Amino acid sequence: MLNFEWLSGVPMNVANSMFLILFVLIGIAILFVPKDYIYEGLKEIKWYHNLKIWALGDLLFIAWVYYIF
Amino acid sequence: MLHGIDYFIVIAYMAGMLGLGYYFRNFVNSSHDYFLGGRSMPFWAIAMSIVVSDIGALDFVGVSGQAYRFGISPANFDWLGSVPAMLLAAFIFVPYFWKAGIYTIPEYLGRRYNNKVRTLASLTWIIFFAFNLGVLFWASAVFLEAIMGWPIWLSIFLTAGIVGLYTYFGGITAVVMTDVVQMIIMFVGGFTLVFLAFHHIGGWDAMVQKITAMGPQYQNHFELVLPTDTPTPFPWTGILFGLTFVMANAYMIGNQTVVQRCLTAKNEWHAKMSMIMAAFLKMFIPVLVLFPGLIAIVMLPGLDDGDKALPLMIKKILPPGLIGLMFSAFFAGLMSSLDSMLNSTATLWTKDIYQPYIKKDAPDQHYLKVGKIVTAVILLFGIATAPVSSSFPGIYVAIQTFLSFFQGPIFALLFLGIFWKRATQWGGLAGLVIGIASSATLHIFSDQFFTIQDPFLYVSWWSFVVGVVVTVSVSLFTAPHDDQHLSGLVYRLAENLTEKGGQ
Repeated sequence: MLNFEWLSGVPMNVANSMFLILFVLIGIAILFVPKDYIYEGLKEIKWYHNLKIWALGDLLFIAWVYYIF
Repeated sequence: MLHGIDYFIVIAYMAGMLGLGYYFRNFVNSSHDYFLGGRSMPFWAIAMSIVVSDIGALDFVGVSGQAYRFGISPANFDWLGSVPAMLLAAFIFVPYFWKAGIYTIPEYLGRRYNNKVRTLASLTWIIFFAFNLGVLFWASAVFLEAIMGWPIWLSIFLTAGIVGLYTYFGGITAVVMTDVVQMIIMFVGGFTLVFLAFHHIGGWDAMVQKITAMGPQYQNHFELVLPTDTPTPFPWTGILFGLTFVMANAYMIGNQTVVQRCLTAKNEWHAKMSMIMAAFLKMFIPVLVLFPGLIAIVMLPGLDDGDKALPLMIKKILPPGLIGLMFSAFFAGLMSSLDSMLNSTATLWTKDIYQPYIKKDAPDQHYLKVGKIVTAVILLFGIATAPVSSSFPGIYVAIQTFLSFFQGPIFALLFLGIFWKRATQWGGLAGLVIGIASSATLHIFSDQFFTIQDPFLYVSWWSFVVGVVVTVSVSLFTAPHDDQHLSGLVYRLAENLTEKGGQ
């Protein structure tokens, strides 16, 4: 139980997919962050101040790495 | 091993750091400046500081050694073990911490739960940092003696003198701004080594081909996700539950040295963006610290100790001048870790222990002075306790284990504290104490509970579960806090109260 034996039968390609699904879920959660929340603290707003763009960029990068390996 | 030009580069680097750090003393006029940099820092400086502080000099050697033995799976700690947690911190935790105007994570726990939780959490971090400082001094000095021939005490006094001076005078501003330069040097030094090493062996594809042809024991060397029965300490279940869900979050959200930097941000946007950029930079760390170990499998096969891989690679590949740059990168790793611990310990002691328990309503200049004195005292403590490591070789592991007991329970408190307004002060205290006790029990009797050799990832997960269950159970039987008390400390509660008030 403590060693997660109940997951030992999960095929490795399914385990790999679980990590990719995790990134997708985080990405969806980021898309739902309210617009005013991501600009809070700024007086003048430019497109590159959109935190969602950079956060999704991080996620794309890491998802690509886990897709390859 | 070092030539004249290398010594010149290392000494010029150290002198530059000292001068730069000392310059920032001009920006310290209050305890707010000393501990939070006057809340004036831009996101890029904070991000670079977070990343470089996380990589110690010994990580270069240790992680490349792990890569030599286990392949790329240790990279999970910088990828899966950082990015999701940093994004959670950026969008949920850091903005709340920043808006609350706190100095320390235990201060948040104190406001959210009670002062007993704050004091226990703070003392834990202070003890950890204080002892870790000595261990870090000694281990790095031994390493430098082995590869540079420097006497141990010369290394200790030199690094302690430089780091101590700029941290003492410049506070967190000096720490962050010297870290910016240190990160650049670390990246330039590290990438140069990797680039030249790849050139030497014919590139990535050639390396993969050669390593996989070495035999069945290398078949998983290029797998990030390893099966549950892997002989390494990194089964995918441990990586997902222990690392991704608990340890990474506990580190990025509950570690004073990380979060304190975000609290120095000039506004909320910069605080959030600092974590997002740090997550991006963190993804390159395995290239610096892990790839040399992989390349060494091809260049230096059959080493009895994987930790020898990096020093031998440097010797074999780098020309004079670049060796000096690489050693400057080592010092950057060492100094950035030391200055973070010094400043964070001073902040924790002054704000969580001295101010509430010893002298409550003193003028601000008094707390500034206390912060500086604590910085000096902790530094001297670190130097004095450094030789202890030579008598107790297991002390480094013991200190890391001591901290690991707190990771799961502390994250349980932070998680419930921000997402569940029903969590009460007694629930939090019980969750913390029983969670720590469960960690210790699981660790002591690990061979009875776990089948893998080093189950630290599983221990952190189960102690988190215990922390959550106990906090929830006790909270349901104790009086809830009123909404006004929790406003600004619980997710969306302040906004909900404003909306209700406006109706």
